[in-house]
Amino acid sequence: MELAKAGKQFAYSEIMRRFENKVAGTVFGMLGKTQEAEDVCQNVFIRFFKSMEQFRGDSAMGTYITRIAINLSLNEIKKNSKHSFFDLESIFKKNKSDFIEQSKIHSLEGKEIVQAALNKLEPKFRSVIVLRIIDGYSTKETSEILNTPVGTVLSRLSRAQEKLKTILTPLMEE
Amino acid sequence: MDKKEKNLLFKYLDGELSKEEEFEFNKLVESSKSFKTEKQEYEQMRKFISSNAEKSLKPMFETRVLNELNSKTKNYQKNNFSELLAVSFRKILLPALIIIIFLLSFNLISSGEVSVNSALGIQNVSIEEAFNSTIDLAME
Repeated sequence: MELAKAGKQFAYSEIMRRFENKVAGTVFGMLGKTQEAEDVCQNVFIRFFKSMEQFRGDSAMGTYITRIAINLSLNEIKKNSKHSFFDLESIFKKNKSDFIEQSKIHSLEGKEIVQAALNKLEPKFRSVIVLRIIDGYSTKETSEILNTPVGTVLSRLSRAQEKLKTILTPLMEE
Repeated sequence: MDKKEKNLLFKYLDGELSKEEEFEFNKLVESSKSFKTEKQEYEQMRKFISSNAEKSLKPMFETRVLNELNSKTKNYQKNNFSELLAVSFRKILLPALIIIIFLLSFNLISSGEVSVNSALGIQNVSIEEAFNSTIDLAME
C-alpha cells in the first residue's frame, strides 16, 4: 500500500515537472502573476490528479491539463471580475525610452509590458493568444482546448493580434 | 493593407498558408515595403510576447501540491466515513421507529393506563414493596 502510494507520488511529481511551465504560462497569461494565479496553478494539478480516472487518453495529457488550466482561470476571472492587474496607463506614463531600455536590461519589465497588454484583451481573445503564442499550441489544438471552432479561433487570434500590435509596437520600436 | 492582404498575413503567422497562398504571400513581401514591415512587426511582437511570458512558479511548488492533495484525500476519507454513517443510519431509521412505536403501544395496552411510565414499561413500586423485595433477596 505504502509502495503504491510512493509510486503514485513519484508519478504525480513527474507529471508536474513535465507540465508545470505550460500550466504557469497559461494561468499567468490569463490572470497575471498573482498569489491567486499561483493557487489556480496548484488547483489545476489537484483537479487533474483527482479526475485522472476520467482521463480517457483521447486527447494528449498536456492538452487535457491545459483545458483545466483555462477553465479554472476563466472561473477565477468570473469570480473576481475586478481583478487588479498591472495598470497599463501607469506603465505608459513612464518615460518610454527609459522604460524600453530597462526592459532590455531586465526581462521583468518586458514581462510587465506583456502582461499589461494581455490584460487589455477580453478573456476570450486573451485565451487564444496565450494558447497559440505563449504555449505554442496549434490552431487545431487551441480549438480543442477551448471547445471552439477553428474558424472562430483564427478570427479571434487575428483581432487579438491587431489590438496587441497597437499596444506593443510603439514600445518595441524605441 | 487591404482585407485580403491582412488575411494572408495572419494565415502566414498561423502557418496555415496553402501552396498558392504562399506564392502570393512571397510576391507581396517582395513587392510591398509596407506589407513587409507589417509582417516584421507582427513577427517581432509574437517573439516579444513568447519570450516575455511569465512561466516560473514559486519554489517548492510540487511539494505544496502533494501536501494539499494528501490533506484533501484525508478530508475526503473522513467526510466519506461520516456520509457512510449517515446513509447507514437512514436505512435503519424507519424499521427502528416502527419497532419503538410497536413496543410503546404494547406497553400501554398491557398496562391499561395512559402514562409515560406505563408506555416505557416502568412499574409503580412503593418504598415498602421495594424494601421488602430487597430483604427477600438478602434472605435468599
